[in-house]
Amino acid sequence: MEYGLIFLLINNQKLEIPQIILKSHPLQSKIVPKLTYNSNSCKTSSNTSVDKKVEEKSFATAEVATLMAPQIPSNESLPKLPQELITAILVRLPVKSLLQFKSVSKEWFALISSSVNGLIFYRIWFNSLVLWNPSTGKYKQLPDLMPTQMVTTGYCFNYGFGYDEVHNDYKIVALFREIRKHCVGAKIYSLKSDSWRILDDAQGEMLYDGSGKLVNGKLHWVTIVDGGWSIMSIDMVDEKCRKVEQPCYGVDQFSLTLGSVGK
Amino acid sequence: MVKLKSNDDKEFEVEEAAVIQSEMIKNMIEDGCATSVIPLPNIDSKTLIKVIEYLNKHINMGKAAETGEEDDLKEFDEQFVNMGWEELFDVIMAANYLNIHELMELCCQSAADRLKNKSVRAVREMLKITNDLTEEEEQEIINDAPWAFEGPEIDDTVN
Repeated sequence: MEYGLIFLLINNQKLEIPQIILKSHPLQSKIVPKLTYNSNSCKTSSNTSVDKKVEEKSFATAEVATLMAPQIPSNESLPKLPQELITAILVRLPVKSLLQFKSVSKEWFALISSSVNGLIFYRIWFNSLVLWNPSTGKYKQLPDLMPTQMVTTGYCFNYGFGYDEVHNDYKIVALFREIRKHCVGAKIYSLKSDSWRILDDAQGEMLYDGSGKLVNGKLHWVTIVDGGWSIMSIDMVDEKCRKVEQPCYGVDQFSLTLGSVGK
Repeated sequence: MVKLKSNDDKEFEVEEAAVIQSEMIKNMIEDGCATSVIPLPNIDSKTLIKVIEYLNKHINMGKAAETGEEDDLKEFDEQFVNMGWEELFDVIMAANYLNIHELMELCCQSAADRLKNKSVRAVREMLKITNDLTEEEEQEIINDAPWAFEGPEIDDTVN
């Protein structure tokens, strides 16, 4: 798979879609994206009462926050922007700048061309979804996940982008939660069928980590279920949800951040 | 009026009409969670003052269009983002936290405008990013698209 698709979230048609051409790069297997400790991509809910439990828990355990994520030293002198905010800036840059800025640092390389199976994944926090194939320059707007009205009135989303090797199909998992509600809904998009299907398995769990991490054909998320942290995987082939067994960390209280390393 | 409290314990009174441009605070008010003071543990007073300045100026967006004050607002926005990187990042994080779409747009676009056409060296210096790529890795990236690293518009100055 030399060329992949880019998954972009754009807020309106005006936003420049970077006409970037990237192929699978030998470096990518060596790149470990740095994961910042990030309370939630769901910004608006972090200060509300229902989420209080999560907030307190995450503050209390921030010291052991990155049990699973390898760290790359970061600068101290500027505020450290979470990856999704750096991405929100990068998507506004022309292709030429983006291609250059891959060589700024490992983190920027991973952000601009982070890819699995040669696929490239962009994510910012707006609600219009586009699939884009840089080798042909064609892009495709995905069907609406839910009515726009609902999107703008208080839902937060987590996405994962994966590839089903058996059916040669690109899939996107969207997990969404009504702000201040615990109950999570889940849908999966298949490029072949060009439609969203409800993922019954993934309903009801409370999500934590931002975007899904694709490893061995499964998307992984950190979840909080009944106040405890766990890791959930969604198989891109059979689209089933499973719980991933975790090692014994040797501490009673912990929080998790997921990372993934090449294939 | 709605009272906001920064993480350094300073309180600010803001008109409700202005403050509800923040989706987060709007939701809190609608839910009745904003009866007294709203604490903002992620935002310091210096940043909050900037955000409130923006909210107050943008309070009557609709009216501005009617009375021809649009240019005025545009000028304000241009002036508003005229700040250092550190302050800009703080405002971006605050706008993201408070969920103020227009302010996010404005600040992220300003950041992108500053980075556009800059050389890699200039970007690293401006944003104080340490280059942790090996020479070989860097060369490989350049070899992938050498044309992107050349051109008269590439600006090596730091600002």
